Amino acid sequence: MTTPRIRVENLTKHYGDLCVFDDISFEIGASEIVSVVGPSGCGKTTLLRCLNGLITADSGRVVFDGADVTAPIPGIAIVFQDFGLFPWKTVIDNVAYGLTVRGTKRSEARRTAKEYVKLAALEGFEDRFPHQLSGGMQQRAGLARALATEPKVLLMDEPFGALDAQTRELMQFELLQIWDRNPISMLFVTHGIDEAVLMGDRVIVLGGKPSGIHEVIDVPLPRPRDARTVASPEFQELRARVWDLVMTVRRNTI
Amino acid sequence: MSRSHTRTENPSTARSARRPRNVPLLVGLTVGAVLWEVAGRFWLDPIFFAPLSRTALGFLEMVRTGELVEALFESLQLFVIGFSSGAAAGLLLGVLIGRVAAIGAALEDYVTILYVTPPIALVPFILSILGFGVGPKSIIVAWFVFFPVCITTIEGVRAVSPRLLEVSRSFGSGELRTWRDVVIPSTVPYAMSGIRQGIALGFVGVVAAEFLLDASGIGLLLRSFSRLYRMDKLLAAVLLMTALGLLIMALGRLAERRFAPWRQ
Amino acid sequence: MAAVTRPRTELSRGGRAASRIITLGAIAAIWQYSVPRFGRDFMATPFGIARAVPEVLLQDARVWPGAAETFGVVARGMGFAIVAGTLIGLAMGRMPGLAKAVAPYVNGSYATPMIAVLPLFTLWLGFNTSATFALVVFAAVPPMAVSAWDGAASVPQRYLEVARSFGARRRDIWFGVAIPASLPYLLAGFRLASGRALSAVVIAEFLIGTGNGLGNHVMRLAQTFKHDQAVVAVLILTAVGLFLAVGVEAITRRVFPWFRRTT
Repeated sequence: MTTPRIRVENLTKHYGDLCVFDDISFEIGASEIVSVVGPSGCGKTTLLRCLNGLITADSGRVVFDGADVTAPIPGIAIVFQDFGLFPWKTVIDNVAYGLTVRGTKRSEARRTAKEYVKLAALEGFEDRFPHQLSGGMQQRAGLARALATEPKVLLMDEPFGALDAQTRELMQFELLQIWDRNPISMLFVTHGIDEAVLMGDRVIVLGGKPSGIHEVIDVPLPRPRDARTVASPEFQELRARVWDLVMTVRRNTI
Repeated sequence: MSRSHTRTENPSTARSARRPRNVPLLVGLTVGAVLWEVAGRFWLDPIFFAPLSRTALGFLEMVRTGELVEALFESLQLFVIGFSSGAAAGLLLGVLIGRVAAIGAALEDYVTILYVTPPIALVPFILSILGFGVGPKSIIVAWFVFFPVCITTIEGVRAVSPRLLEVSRSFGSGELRTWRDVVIPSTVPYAMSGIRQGIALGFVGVVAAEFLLDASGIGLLLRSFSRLYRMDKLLAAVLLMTALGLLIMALGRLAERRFAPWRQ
Repeated sequence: MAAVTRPRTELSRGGRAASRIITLGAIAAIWQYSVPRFGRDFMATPFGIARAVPEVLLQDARVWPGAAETFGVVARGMGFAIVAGTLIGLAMGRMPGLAKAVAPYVNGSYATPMIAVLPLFTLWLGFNTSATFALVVFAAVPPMAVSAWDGAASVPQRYLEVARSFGARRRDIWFGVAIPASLPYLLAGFRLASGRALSAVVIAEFLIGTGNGLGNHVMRLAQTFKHDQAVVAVLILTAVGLFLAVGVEAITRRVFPWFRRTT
């Protein structure tokens, strides 16, 4: 890891008297995936929004490509848990959205969007409205929309949290495949411990009151990862370790 | 409307139930028609009632003499003027109240208070201040239309999904783009349902204005038929009102769906 | 710029109160200023209305008897419409065949402007409160029936299955499941119906013109150019309308704590 893609320094956020998290620092390298796990209410989602500049932290900085992030910027894209697709836009227009917002001509944006629709395996569904798609397909569209802007950092806010268990598993492997072809930096916020280990090069465990980084675990599992990774004893061992940590944090937090 | 994550592909059952068309419907209509005819011929005083057959003939006569077309045209003019001004004002004020916190806090209570007051209560004031004429009558129609449009627009503007606003912000969308991509599309269905109600109420307003101020159009027809005890024509005119009302409701629903094809 | 890109800017409590008072003051001032300059001298003004409030409410001998007559008709008409409309609607909801046969009449009377049928009622029943009562019923039954119909047709099948699996009798299913489950719809119907009933009574009183109801009183005050007093009389209608729209729901919420409004 030479120069980190994005660097978080001593980030602190309060809501009124409530301190959400305190003094958080970490880095994400180029082509690195960092998972964040922790009990509900530990500020995972708030942290992710700070990285995008949707929320400004009270103190500390987020540095991306050598500059402070204070507002949403083109190099960073988010995928939301509840997809956040525009119900009145078709799939292709949803995917093209990020490009048109940045001033790309509609026809050109659609051409680019088409590639990402293909990447997300949504060919043939370009002209459907979101409510006509299954949850998994909607989230693939959400992913395609984020990727279409060619971000350098992808922020994933529990992206598979609203999906059923089977779809979630499938989507995890699909995301890994997409990432193998286009390895960008990723912050992966999740509830799922398996998911965190499977995706991440490192897993950050948040916890405490106010929450901070409890521990960072390296995940040296080889890539490309797939269903066999999950079956390996190394995976199981890492998974058990993260599980223990999260349980400890939970006991101490509540 | 934040239902983007639920998968709903069922054709709206409620709507198909509301538009029944088959055997029971025909039975219902036939029984009604027969009862009407029998009651009109054998039971009820012919001075105060007319059987279906005579009512139908009365309708045809109204069409033939041209009085009906003339009246409808006159009422339509009043409707167009009143409706367009009432709806425009309702949309404008609705967006302002819904979107601008200061204006909302200041004006919303007054709109609500006027909304629960029967709109017809405006009539005596208009009558004694402005008297007769197209202008005063249009004001009454506009007053009827204004409230449903304004109230539903407020609701619509407020119902804009915070998630979608966040999405647009995360992609760096500017204010104007956000209005175009998020605020307006999510408000339109609400505003359309307000406009649908506004059309129906505007129709009531037209009849009310033409009845209570200087008689004209359909109101004049209803008034003169009842004074002349022309029950055949009076019943025909009332039924025509019913038909127009149903037509307006159906058109409104159609428009509502036309403007939001992305809803299930 | 801040309007959209941030979550809607909420005013503080004090800010809301302040902006309300300021707006009220501004509207009143403009109104008070404009009437003598641009309007007619008999038009209502804020000060005039304020002065007329005690006068109308305490001294006018015709206001309260008029209100009693008017709201008496509304109450009787609504009572009738609630029972009849709910019965019709629930029957339609449980019997689809009947619903299809009756739907054109319910929808048709809903869509007919009530003023259009008033001439019929006055011919049949005379220029008196019977015609007013009939118009109130005509106005209030369709929304009650349609709402009850929607409610009964949308009782979640699951509840019915649960009730049946526990061996509930027909009566238990109606009073224990069907009616509570459709309560939100019935309440929505009541809101619509009571609004229409209020309009109906005023329309009838304006048009019939010979009675002593609140509507007649408003009309007479306006025609004798006592607009301040007329506005106060209208405000009584507003208060009742507000109670019917908001108060009734608040009471329901108190009586049935599980109740949530479905929108």
